[in-house]
Parts: sequence; structure tokens; C-alpha cells
Amino acid sequence: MSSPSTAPIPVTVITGFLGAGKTTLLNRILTENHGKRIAVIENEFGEIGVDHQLVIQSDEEIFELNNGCICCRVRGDLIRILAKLRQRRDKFDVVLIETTGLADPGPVAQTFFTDEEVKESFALDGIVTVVDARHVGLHFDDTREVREQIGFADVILLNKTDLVSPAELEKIEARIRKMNPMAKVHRTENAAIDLNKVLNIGGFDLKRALELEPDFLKAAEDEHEHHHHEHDHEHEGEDHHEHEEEHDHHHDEDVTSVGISTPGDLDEKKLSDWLGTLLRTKGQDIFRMKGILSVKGRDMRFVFQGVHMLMDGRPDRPWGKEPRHNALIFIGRNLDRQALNEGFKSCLV
Amino acid sequence: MNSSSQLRPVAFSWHARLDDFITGVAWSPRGDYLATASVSGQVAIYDAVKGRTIHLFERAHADGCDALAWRPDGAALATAGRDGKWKLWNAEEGKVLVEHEAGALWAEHLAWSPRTVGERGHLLALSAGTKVTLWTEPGESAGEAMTFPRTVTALAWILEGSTLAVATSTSVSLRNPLTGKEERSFPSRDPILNMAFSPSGKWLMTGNQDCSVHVWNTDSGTEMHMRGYASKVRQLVWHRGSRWLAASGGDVVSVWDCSGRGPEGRTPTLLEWHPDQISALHYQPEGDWLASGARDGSVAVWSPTQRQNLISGAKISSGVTHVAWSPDGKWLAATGEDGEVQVLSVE
Repeated sequence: MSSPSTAPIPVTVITGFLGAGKTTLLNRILTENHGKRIAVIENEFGEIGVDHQLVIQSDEEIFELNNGCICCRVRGDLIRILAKLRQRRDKFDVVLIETTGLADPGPVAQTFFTDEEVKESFALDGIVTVVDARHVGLHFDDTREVREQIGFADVILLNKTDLVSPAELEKIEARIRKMNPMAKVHRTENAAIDLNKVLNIGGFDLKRALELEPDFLKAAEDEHEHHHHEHDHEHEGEDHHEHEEEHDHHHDEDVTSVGISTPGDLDEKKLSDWLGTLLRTKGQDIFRMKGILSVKGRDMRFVFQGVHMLMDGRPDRPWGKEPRHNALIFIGRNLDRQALNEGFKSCLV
Repeated sequence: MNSSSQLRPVAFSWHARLDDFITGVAWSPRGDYLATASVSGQVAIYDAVKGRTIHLFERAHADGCDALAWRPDGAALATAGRDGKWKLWNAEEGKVLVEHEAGALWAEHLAWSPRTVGERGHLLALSAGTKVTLWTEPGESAGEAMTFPRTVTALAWILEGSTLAVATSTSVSLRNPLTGKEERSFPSRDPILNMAFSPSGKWLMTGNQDCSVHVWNTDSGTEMHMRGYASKVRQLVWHRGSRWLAASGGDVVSVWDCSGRGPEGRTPTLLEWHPDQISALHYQPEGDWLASGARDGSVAVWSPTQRQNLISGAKISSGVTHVAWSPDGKWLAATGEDGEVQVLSVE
């Protein structure tokens, strides 16, 4: 047998709106990289400034399967290009994919979970979204793609921080964190970032989900807290807050996150029915999900992660002395916070 | 099932090696040479009988050679690669006759017309990205590029070379090679990976991403789907008589009877022997035997219409990338992911 025995090649996807700094980040990775063999798959409008040997242009070709269901869309161009890249014996250490500013990260991610050939040789390591701090305020509300790219991200570079005031920056970051509390947000100028923060981050790796666990739990809890604060504000009824509330509300109808953090054991059957129905009916609107669950009668923690309808989950390690607890997060569009909370809690024993 | 004791022995004729994955293999029209190409960019021409290396071009194409095709007179070999170029080589002297930019980063597919096209002689069709260009026998441009909305995934001359068929993921387009105009189009909702026209021109089959084969009867315009393959369908080959179509999905080859009204309602013959995913298929140009290769390196020769349909089996040292019969059908070349080129015959 050929390739199956070798470890899959990690793939990092760089997304971001036009002019956010995707190419700057890409060039930084290529120039700062020491000794790694990197293949770059660049969108057809891309322009790589450095002299890099392996750059392939792609034309963002969406394959619609099963009558165009959103959850079954994959990127035909990536399948074709990756099939060729995997032929080489001197395989690459890293593949970087730079999408167009208007690309939907969903089909890119799904390509790595559904195409058998791609799965065999490549593993999606992370989605890095570059955000232009100066202009994102304008795009939050009128550009669906910007919200989707933030929602799908494992890492967000809040770039061009030198061009906005600290107060403005705080506001933008708060908004980003509300949309996606799971992602790590780094503030950058000229996309200057330690490469370890964007490469080899294991964003979709269940084993690695453990390493991120404290942050992840914190994200779910923060989200929980945040939500309560909002209610407080609402009752206070101050003008300023009401305005914000309205703004947030508008926003809630689009990309947002729902974190659930609760003690108690789950009924396996109920959980499986609830999750199954949820993904079947709302999978289109769920961009990312992750969780650690305590299932009754099981000594092991159950960890899962998913994109749209695709879910990957398994028991990982015994709870041991750690208090049994459930923490999960959904990021997506038009998420019904109340229904998700109630649905999940109905699965508790 | 077949019992292996009844299998005919295989004679390994000669063997050679390039330094990486073999991306293309082609017997010269008279069967006197075998040319191969690799993902490392090597192109080799061997003497077909002894396997002596006539020419080895170490870096024919930087970043890999993806396609090669003998000019019908057998005096020149066209190659295309990931350097975005195509080249025409003099087979005897081993020199580059012409070299052109193909119009995109990767030049992927090549096909010479089997007959002369009008007064222009044989034409070479070349695809690179979304563009298809045509070239004359000496390697001069033969007209404007045809541009397609998606990346071209397959090229074929059909109807005795009068028409060029171009596949993209969304359709198969039939083009007049003299004008470049579209004469007919077969749109598909299932993303197309490969296509195969029956030699008669009646049947068009595409192998698709959604593990199906899409069939068009080009006479009546009717369409049908054969679904339920174990994997996406990359290999589709026709028997010269236009009756049998072989398609691979997973580790099984299915052979469809396309006589009369076609394969609808019929059950294909399933050829089961390979222990791994099938990666290569080829029918004898003049005979009835079908060769198949799989990712574990197994190579099989079948006579699909006979009850004892497995004739012979062999193994090469890595996953099979191509199987190719010599024009007279006596020799089978099987090539591997590790660069191996094995020529064998069935006794």
C-alpha cells in the first residue's frame, strides 16, 4: 500500500474579506518558514509576491451533491488539485489554501471530511480568518461572507490594528468574540504573527480538543455569562444599552454562538436523538460545534466536533477525579438559543 | 468464483523504473516504443521489445509531467506538465522540436485526432485549466483557444476524429475542431470526473463524484443513471465493438451490456478479484480482454464475457497507476506509484 500508512498532510485555510491581509499572512508564512515544504493553493485572483516554488491557482468550483444540500457542498477544484499533489513521494509538510474574499468556508471544510481520497492524505488543521479592523465595522452587517468567515474560524487575526483607536478595537473584538467565542483572536499589524499560532493548531482534531479544553470551557462559560448580562441590561433599560441591545439583536439573527455549560449526566439515547434531529433540521445553519459531554453510565468523557451536519465524536479519556460536566458550543446562523438550551437540558437524566 | 489454479501464467517481459509516481504511459502507434512520464517530471522512451531506454528526459517538465501522447505518425511525442508547458519531442533524436506555454499553471490533458481534420492534418488538443487549444503536427497553433466555464477534466476525439469532446464538471461539450463552435452539449447535475464515448458515438458515459455513472443515448437524447458505486467513478473504458462498457467503483469492475436499448434494466457482470480500490482499466485495442489494476499493486486480465472471466493475475511493487495494452494486444504495460514500469504478457 502506498500513502495510507503515512500521516495526513495538514492543511490550513486562510480566509478573509478582500484587502483584509490574507496575502500578507500567506507571504509571511512562506518567508518566515524554515525548512518546511509548503504547497500553496491560491484563488484565481490571488497574487503571491514572493518567489515560491509551488503555487497552484484554483477556480473555487463548488460541487453540489444530493440536490444541492448545503451540507453536501464540496470544493471540486481542491479535490482535483489535492489528488495531484498527493502523487508526489516527497510530500509537502503543509498545504495552505487562500480563498477569495467571498468564499464560503463550509464547502472547503466539508471537502476534508467527505471526500475519501482527500481524507486519506490530508487533514484540515485550521481555518484562519484575517479581519481588517479598519473596515470590518462596515462589513459586519452588510456582508454575509464576512460573518461566515468569522463564524467558521479557529483563529482570527484582527489585523491593521494600527489604523483604529483602542476603543474601537475593543468594540470590534467584543463583537467578534460574541460571534465566535471558540476562536483565538490575535491582534496584528501587517498580519505579523507567530506561525505557531496559525499552523498546526489542530482545530478539527478531537485529540487536540483536549489541549484547548480550558479555553474552550471558558468560552462556553463566558458565552453563558454574557447572555445573562444582556438580560440585566435589558431590565435596566438605559438608552445606551437598549441601543446596543438592538444592534446585538439584529446581529443575533445572523452569525452567533450558543454555549451551554451545565453539570449532570446525559441520557445516551435522548442525546443521540436530539443531536440527530438537530443536525438534520438545523445542520445548514450550524457552522461549527464542539463539546465535552458527560454521559450516564460511561466512565469516559465524550468529545465531539462538527461542521454543518458532519459530526465526529468519541469517548476520549476517563473522567477520573475531574467533576463530570457538560460544555458545548454551537456557532452558526439564526441559532435559537432557548431551543438549544432546552433541547440539551431535556437530555439530562 | 474463479479458482486461481485455472489462471494462465504471466510472463514478465521487462521492467524499468522512473523515480516517482507514473502519471502517463503510451505505446507508440506501431507498438515499437513505450513512453512513460512521472510526477517528478521525467519522461522516458523505451524500446518495446527489450525495454532498453532509448531516451530519458530527466526534467521534461518541472513539478511533474501529467500527460503524453504519440503523434499518429509515431515520429514525435507530445508531453504536457505542471510547468504550464507542452512540448513536442522528436522520438528518434530525443530533441525538443517545439515548446509552448499552455495557458495555465498546469497543462493536464493531451489528445491527437486519430484522423486528419480537414486539410490540417492530425490535430493535437491540449487542455490547461479552462482552456483548450489545438496544434498542428509540427506543433504550430491551429487557432484560437476555446475557453470553458470550469476546469477541463477530460478530452477525447470522437466520431472518427471529426469532433472534439471536452468534459468539465458540469457538462460534456462537443466542439467543431475547425471553428471551435459548440455543436452539442450534455449538461450534468452530478459533478463529472471522467467521460467515455462509445467508439460508435452512440453512448456517452460519465463517471461522477457522487459515485454514479451518467449515461446518454446520443441518438435519442435519453439519459439514465447507474448509482450505488462504492466510490466515485474515475475509470470508464469501452470495448472496441461499442457493446461493453467497463467501469470501476471500489474494488469491483462492473461491465455493462450496452447493445440495443442500452444498459438500463440490465445487470452488469461484476469482476471481483482485486483486494483494493481499482485505479486503472484498459481494453485491448484489437481484442476482447480487459486489464485492470488496483491500489495494492494487483493487476488482472479478464475476458469479461466468458463464464471463467478471470484469465490471469499478477502483482507489481506499488499501487497501479495505469494499465495499457500494446496496439497488437500482446503486451500489457502496468505502471506504479513508486515509478515501476512492468511489461508483461499472458501465455
